[in-house]
Amino acid sequence: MSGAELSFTVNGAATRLQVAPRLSLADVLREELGLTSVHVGCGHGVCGACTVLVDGVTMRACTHLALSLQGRTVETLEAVADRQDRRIAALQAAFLAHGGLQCGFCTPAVLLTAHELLGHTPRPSRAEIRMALSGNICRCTGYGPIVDAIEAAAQELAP
Amino acid sequence: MTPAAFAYLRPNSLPEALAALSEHGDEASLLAGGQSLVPMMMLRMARPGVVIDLGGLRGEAGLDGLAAAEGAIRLGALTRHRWLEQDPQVARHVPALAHAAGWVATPAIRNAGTLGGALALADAAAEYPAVVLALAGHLHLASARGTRRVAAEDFFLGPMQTDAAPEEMLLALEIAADAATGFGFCEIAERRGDYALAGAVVVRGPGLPGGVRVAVFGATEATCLAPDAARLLAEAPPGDWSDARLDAVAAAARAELADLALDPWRLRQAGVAVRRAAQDLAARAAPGGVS
Repeated sequence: MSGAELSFTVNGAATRLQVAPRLSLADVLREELGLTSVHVGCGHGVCGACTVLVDGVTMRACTHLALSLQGRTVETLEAVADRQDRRIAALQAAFLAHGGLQCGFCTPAVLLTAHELLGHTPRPSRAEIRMALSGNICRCTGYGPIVDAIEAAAQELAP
Repeated sequence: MTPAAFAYLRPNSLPEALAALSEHGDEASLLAGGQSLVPMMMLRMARPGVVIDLGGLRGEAGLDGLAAAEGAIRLGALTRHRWLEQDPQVARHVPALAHAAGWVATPAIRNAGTLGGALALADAAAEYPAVVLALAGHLHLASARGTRRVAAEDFFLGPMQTDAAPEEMLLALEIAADAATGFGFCEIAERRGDYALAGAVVVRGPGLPGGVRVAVFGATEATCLAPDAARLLAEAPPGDWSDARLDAVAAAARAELADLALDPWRLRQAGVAVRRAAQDLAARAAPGGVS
């Protein structure tokens, strides 16, 4: 493939690829690296389904040209869920217990968003939870069960 | 979605970036956080022939974060929204900007998008141009030929139009330290994080031209000042802003913005936003008010 060399860290592994300039980070993560927790809904930064961590904070994979990630560190839900992390484990369990997902399309991104929220705000109010979720579109749950699940996870982690 | 093809350049220093810009000028777009440019490219509303990625310039002095200069706060163009929202010095010296940063889009976009990107885009629905106009800030621009400093009122020329030439890059925003002793803010949108349908910033301080400044965004073709509304607010201290005065302020804003408003409903909302922003300023100024 034509393009330039992209050298970055993905889920802990030093990664080098030839990347065409017009490919997004979401394209590269899904198509080249097989990281399918990165869902592409709208493809232009509105739905939030492609949320990943870049240098430890949430960003949208579809609104980043892959080459702009040169030298940076990307983590997807695959890696966050695999590491020994009480926060993501509590969130996953609470989403199951409270019906925080139906079709599941938005779920990986919602989990990463909630994970970031509980990292800086351990006991968020329901309004703060909704504010944090303002960039993640869910078309199934009506958000109520998602907010319930995040609230329950926060309660379990910081009683 | 995939953008139209383009050539990608990633300079490693400011001089390299400015040289690339002077070579490619009109057909080049600068990529900072990319949270507007990349979606516009995905939708093919923007089709730059060359993208100059500024990611390699993050280590350059003065481009990321705050530098206090003589009586002024200088913020680098590559400073991210999320940092502005959380930095204690920005909150202390330019609280209107820190507050507005929390209203830019949604969290994952604020983690990526930049101050300079938003200012250079000059979207009429964006928060920062209104804050910078209200606070009478200055923009620092650079090209391969040198640098210059432009007042906000001369920089923002219209919707998506600024005084920056194709070969110029925005380096920093400068605002007089503690320019305002009080601010108020209101944004009306369908959901938090959506584009503003109408918004207003009101600032007050002895060092500001006229003592009170009002800027409106979202409702009008371009971000603009509302000097008649500001004059009415300057006549009395915030503690004495009665309902009758605020009604008159909203009416004055509607009258002076009528030709610029996108439609009659937006014009009405602009009046509402100005009124609520003034109320917000008064509430913050009151003893025990929110900071």
